[in-house]
Formats: sequence, structure tokens, C-alpha cells
Amino acid sequence: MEGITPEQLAAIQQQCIFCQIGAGKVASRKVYEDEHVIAVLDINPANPGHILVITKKHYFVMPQIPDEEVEHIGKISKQLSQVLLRTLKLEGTTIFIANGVAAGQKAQHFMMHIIPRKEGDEIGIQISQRQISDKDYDKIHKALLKGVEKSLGKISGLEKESEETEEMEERAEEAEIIKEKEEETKPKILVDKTKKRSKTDVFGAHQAKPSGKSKKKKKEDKDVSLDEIAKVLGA
Amino acid sequence: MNCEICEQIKNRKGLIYEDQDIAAMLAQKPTAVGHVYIVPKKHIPILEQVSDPIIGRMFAKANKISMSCFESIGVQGTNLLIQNGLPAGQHHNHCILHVIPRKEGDGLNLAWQPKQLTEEEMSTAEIQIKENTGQVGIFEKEKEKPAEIEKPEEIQEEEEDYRIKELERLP
Repeated sequence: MEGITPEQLAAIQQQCIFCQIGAGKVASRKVYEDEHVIAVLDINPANPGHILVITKKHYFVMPQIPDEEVEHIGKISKQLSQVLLRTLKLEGTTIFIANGVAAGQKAQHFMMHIIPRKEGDEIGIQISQRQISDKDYDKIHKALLKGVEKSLGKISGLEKESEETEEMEERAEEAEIIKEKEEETKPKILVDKTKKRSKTDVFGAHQAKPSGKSKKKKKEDKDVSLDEIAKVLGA
Repeated sequence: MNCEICEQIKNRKGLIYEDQDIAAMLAQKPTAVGHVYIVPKKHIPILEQVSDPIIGRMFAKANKISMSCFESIGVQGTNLLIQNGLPAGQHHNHCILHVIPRKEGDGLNLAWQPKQLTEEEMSTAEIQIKENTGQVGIFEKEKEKPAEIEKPEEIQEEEEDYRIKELERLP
């Protein structure tokens, strides 16, 4: 949430209905709550028992959420899905998150849907399986692999921990160059086109600091590998 | 065991990330350009069988990969999706967290039509669910528990077995 002053954040939170729900200032049908999230029934449910998991902190989109909190959200999604399966005698659940307007995000606050499913309920959310040429597949794989290596490290990085630290600096430099190149063409996460005031400010501020951002990336790299080391040692 | 996902993990096709427990790879039959599967490396058919630490990390990696999609393949949004069980449209006999890159006007429709429920229907659902969330938020530790402790859950497992069988019937 860099780029926002505490005053701005307070103003956003006051206007955000989901922050108000999280703070208990607006009535809701709450089914679960802990320090990070609150789970309420969606007032426009796809099916009875449709749960919304909302972060208590104000995040516009998922990429703003720190790793530990995302992990927590993941675990909660599984457990709430389990609760739905057992109590509503379901045969399935759909867990759904939208990041950005293009993905169908309507609110200015991160949320996760857990939707009860039954055979033949025909609520939608079906994904098709399309054919793709080998050439296109390889092209996308290459592009994505490069991006993911920047944020998560090289594949099988676990076995090459020492090499990684050396590579890390190289990668940070590389990232900076690519960042600069991409700066103009880089797409913005579109949150809302119609109401530009606060959001464009936030995302504008976000992108106006490429150097700060790539530094942060580098730090995240470190975090990831430290985690992995801890896991290897602990195992 | 004939699982397309296990097969793909083994031959490393389209792999973009891997650690001890998790793999992320490009879908071979994507619904959108850059569609990524994030999966447990072990053959685990349904979400409920994935351990808490692993599902947590699958989400964290999905979030990072989702960010990479914004930056490296120029998309404007992403959906994260788990289709848990046949009625939810689960295609594979392996639990998958989908990262689906999105662009304006891409023709995908992942929205749903809201239902109008009465106040009573809403409160019934609320009470039923609330009564059963007592154990939510208590997570398994990183290391696997010995099998004996799992015993009291035997009744539930029967239920799960039925669902696994359903999935195994998929081609």
C-alpha cells in the first residue's frame, strides 16, 4: 500500500462498505471472523450459503496482500469450503477471486467467494478447454517463465541455493532494465474506469516508483528463499 | 493411475515454478492465453485432502504468478479459481488452483446470476454455517501427522471416497 498517506487510507476505509463490514460497523450475516479476515454471507448469492471472505485491512487487489496473509486466506478457503460441504450436504464448491475489472472485480476491496455447488445448479463459472499450437504454447511459456523467475526464483532453486544469491543481484539488475523498457507498454491493473479519483492516484503512485518496486521484488526473492531454506532444514 | 496432471508434472511440460510440494505449469488446454495450473505435486484429487500449509502456499504462489501475468504477458486482470468437485466443473482428478489471465472483451464469462433469497432462507443458511465454523482457523502444522490421529474422521472419509470415485470415472 505504498504511496498512500495514513489520512488517505482512513478516508478510503471510511467510504469502503467492506472495511465497514470488517470493522463491524455495518450489519452483516457473519459466519466466521479472525484477526485477518471476516466471512459473511453474500447478499446477492449465486446459491444459498454463498460466502464472501473479506480482508479486514483495505486491499484493492490481491497483489497488494502480503504472503502470510494470502496463505491464511488460502487455508481459510479450504476450511470454509469443507464446512459448506458438510453442513449443506453439497457435492462441490467453487472458490473464486477476481483481480481487476477485466476479471469481473466490482468492488474496491479484495474478496474471495466460496460458492456452494450442486449438480445441475447451472450458475455458470464454467471454463472451456481450448487447443493451442505448440509454437504459441512455447512462446507464452518463455515469457511467463521469465516473469515468474523474477518473483519466485528459478525452477529447482532449492538445490542451488548458493548460486541463487549470486544470481539474485544479476536478476535485480535485469529486472530494472526490463522494467524501464516495459514502463510505457506496461498495462495497468484496471480497477475502475469510471471513478478515477482515488484509485488512479493509488495505482499511479504505485507505478511512479519503479526503482522502489524492484527493490521490493528483490527483498521478496530473499524472503522466498529464506522460507525455503527453513523448510528444508525443518524437514 | 492415469492422471494428466501427474503426467505433466513428471514430464515437466510448461513448468514455470516448482518446489518440494507444489508445481505451477501452463495449462495444455488453456481457457485463456497464459492459463496456469497450480497443483500439489502429490496426486491429490480433491481440495479437502490438500494439507493446510500446502494450500496456503499454493495461494501465495498463485498470487505471485498472477502478478507475473500482469507484467510479462500484458493482461489486465486475473481470476483465481478452484473447481472443487464435479458439480463445480472439476475436469481433472487432481486438485488445481487455476490462474486465468483476463483482458477486456476476452469473451470469457465467469460471472453468475444472483439468486433472490428470502430473509428466512438467508438466516437458515447463516445459522447452519455459523454453528460449524468452530474449527475454522485452527490449522495443521507443516509436518504430517501420524495416521492414528486421523481415526475419528473415518466417517468423513467414506464420503470423500465416494467423491474420489466419481472423479476417477473421468476420462
